Amino acid sequence: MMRQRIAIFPVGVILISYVAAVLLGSSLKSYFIVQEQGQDVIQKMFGGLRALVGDWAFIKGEEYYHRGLPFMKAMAYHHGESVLAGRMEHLGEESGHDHQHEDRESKKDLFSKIYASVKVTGDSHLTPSEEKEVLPWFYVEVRFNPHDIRGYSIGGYWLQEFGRPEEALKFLKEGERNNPNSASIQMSLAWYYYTTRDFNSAIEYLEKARKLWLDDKEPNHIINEYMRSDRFFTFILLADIYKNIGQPMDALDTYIDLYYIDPSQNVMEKAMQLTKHESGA
Amino acid sequence: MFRRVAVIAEGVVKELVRRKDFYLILALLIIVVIYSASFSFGGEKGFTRYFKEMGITFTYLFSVIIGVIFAARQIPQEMESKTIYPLLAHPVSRFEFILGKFFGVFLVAAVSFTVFYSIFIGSVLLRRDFSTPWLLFADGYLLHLLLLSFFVSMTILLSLFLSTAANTMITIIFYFATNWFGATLPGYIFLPHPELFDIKEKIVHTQDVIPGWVLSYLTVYAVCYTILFVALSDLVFRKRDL
Repeated sequence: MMRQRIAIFPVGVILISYVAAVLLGSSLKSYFIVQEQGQDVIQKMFGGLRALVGDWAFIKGEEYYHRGLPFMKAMAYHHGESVLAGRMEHLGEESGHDHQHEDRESKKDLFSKIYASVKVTGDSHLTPSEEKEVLPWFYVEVRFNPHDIRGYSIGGYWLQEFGRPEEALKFLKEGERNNPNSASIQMSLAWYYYTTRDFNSAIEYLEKARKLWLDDKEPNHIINEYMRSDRFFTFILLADIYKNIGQPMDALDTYIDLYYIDPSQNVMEKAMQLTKHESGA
Repeated sequence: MFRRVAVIAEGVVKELVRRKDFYLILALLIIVVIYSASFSFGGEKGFTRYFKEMGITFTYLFSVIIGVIFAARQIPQEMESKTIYPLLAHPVSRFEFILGKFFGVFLVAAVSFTVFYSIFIGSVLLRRDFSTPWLLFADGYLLHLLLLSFFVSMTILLSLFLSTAANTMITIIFYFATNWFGATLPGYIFLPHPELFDIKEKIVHTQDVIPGWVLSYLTVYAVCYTILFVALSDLVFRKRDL
């Protein structure tokens, strides 16, 4: 009887481990990159594991950027939003992303107090001199998962921010080779050329990205806010360049395309302004 | 009693010197540290946080692996080789046997961790990174020793039911699962929280030292679990027909 009771213990541990593993899987869902179609079982298994390590590296990058990542779901796309904010500021527009440093709401129970004492729970961005600390994680991310588009896009952005344009271009070109149909990477390359004032190349890449977004095929299905921001920025940047080089009708077309695929974006106001400006001229 | 427990523990510690596991893992750690120090990303070098993250992650992980592997094989090995019979024929109680094994493995894990941690701190200082307070390093040391005590006692208990390989695997998975997702698992309040002993993030991001009351609380917490696991092991082992 006693032995039977005792034998329940390891069975319990195994059951708990299994339940834990299932629960762990569900919490990773938001980070999982959609894998290519047509892989066999072995490829899927190892591909999944590789993507998991890539996602883990992305989470580490997030953790570094925020000096701690206590509530992953809430933070998952903040880094992407920050990148968008940086780019929008460059265009002289606002993104709506709040850069304010925020502290997590601290709970009063004992466990939360102890947890807050042993883990990093405050959310404050790295200082500009420390920002390069996020860089290794994007390299780790794409080395483990060369199809991790987000790793290439954000990593490329940071390399440029750190004054390493050649490295940024090399990194993004590698991303393009590994993901030739990614609109996000085309957009990131366009951004690189835009910042180096090579507007013809920027337009070339933005037009490719625009077509890919409009086609709405893998890997360009909008699965998170980060991708939505990327798509939004592609059209805004393209329209901005067209406006600046004196092609307002192309800019108008671009706004209309954006409105067509994402009516929630308030771009018709911009289009109307452009039309008024043109009629006035 | 203490002498008998000490003799059994001494036998386990001697195993550390005799076996090659420790030297292999030590060599691996040194390779990881040198490799991490030489990394360059996008033409940039001198990533202090990344280096600390790599160093401390492997320092913690390798010491847990040594503790778990040693703990998992102690009792099954004694039973397989039948060396347990002459041992228990002496005036050694089963409780003393379990306690001796626990202290021996804990000592093995603690010594390995001390060597690994010294290499980690030494490499951080060699890179002229003096940002982490000494007290925080000391907190990390103490809390990890408590974590080792927790895992060693848990592994000894599981070794009474599982094979060495299954036990090692389950315990390592449990270590990772609690570390990564411990506080986010629903209903987890009813399970142990070994993730609370891991202050890696604090050390990597150079945060405040751990308050004294938290250290005291966690010490009592780890000691309670260790006593519970050792007592359960004794209970199971006492009832077992050998």
